[in-house]
Amino acid sequence: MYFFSRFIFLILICIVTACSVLPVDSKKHTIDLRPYQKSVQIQVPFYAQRDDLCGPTALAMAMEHVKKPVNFKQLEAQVYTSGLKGSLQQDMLTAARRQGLLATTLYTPEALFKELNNGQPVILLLNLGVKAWPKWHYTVATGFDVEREIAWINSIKPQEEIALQHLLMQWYRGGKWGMVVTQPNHLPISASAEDILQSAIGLERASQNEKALQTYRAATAKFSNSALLWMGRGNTAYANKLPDEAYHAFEKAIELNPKNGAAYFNAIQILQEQKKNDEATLLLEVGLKNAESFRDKLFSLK
Amino acid sequence: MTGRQLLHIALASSVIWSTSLVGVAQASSALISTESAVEVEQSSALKNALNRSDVQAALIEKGISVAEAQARVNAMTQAQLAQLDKQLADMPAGANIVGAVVFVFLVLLITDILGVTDVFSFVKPIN
Repeated sequence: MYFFSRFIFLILICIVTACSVLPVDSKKHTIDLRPYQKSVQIQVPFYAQRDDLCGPTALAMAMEHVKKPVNFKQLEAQVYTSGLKGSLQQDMLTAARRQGLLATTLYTPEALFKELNNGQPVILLLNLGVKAWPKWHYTVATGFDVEREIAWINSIKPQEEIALQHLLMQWYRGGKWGMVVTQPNHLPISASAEDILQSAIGLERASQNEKALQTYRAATAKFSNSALLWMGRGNTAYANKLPDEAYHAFEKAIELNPKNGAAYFNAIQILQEQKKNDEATLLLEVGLKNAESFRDKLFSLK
Repeated sequence: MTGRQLLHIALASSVIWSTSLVGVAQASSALISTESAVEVEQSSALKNALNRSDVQAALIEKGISVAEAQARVNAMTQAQLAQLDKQLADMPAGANIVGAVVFVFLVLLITDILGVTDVFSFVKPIN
């Protein structure tokens, strides 16, 4: 009897403590759904998730959606980490970029709904357990229905129905990490200039300069005031042997931020290569005057 | 000197060697990369080589082959590396006490039944 009552007491404590750490307060999760369609369901090719390969499977589904052929074995090697029995978020991003796709992160429910509303599936990292005892799971969100308050996910089964509240709770508990995979010339609707810059730099790092140039072209059209996006366009145009486009982009970066020493440095080198020595000297003078922190580096071009 | 330290040194020297090769190859015309321009602007320059070899060693320890670990890490941006580095450092060491396991099992069983969590596939939530 003593043990039994202790057991009950323990269970009661469990319930109390467990609930107190969980965000069950519905007000916390109130999201204004009025700007979105009433119901969106995106058709995303399904891969059955076996063992602990939810990372590469989620990525495979997202890739198939943008018509990128999937070599699952290769994807698994690039994403899965056997010692962790799972996949790291950074490896998910990097693997997509190594395939020449644009992989962008998102962290807010507003961004999630914007993407789904726009017909773009989103990979979500969920915590199916609790904070202290996490059970991680990647899933692909494929839609939502406002009136029924449900979401659809490609998880164990295709287009599984899940209570919106439930999904968001698991997503919040997992740190609100989401990822969008698109073709490089197609920018996710929710992404800021800084988000795009980071994912485009990722493509550059993954030696995908041709794809990165496509991203920078689209990004400089959408965010024409970002000096760093023009900088990226210049570098990738140059890497793709398009020096004129590169020079124009560096010029634009200087115009937007006259103290941008790196843009002078790169633009001057292109002029020198094209034997436009007078123009190069002139630009060097301007650069030395404006970009003080870059003086030494610029002097080396004299 | 432990095996791990040796691995670090080997990786660090391989990174230095490969970056110096790149330096030679691009000496004639090396534009400043987008990433470096961002770092200058945001003054967030990190210790490039050291960070990469550390993260690479950590991935190898988790069962990734040397070549694949290098490929993964080389394709990461500085911002990604910093995040991964932090994540690997924060990972629990995995102390396994039977009592704690039983306790957590019970908690999760109950939260599963209540429909708050979804850990065990054999549990059907009450609602």
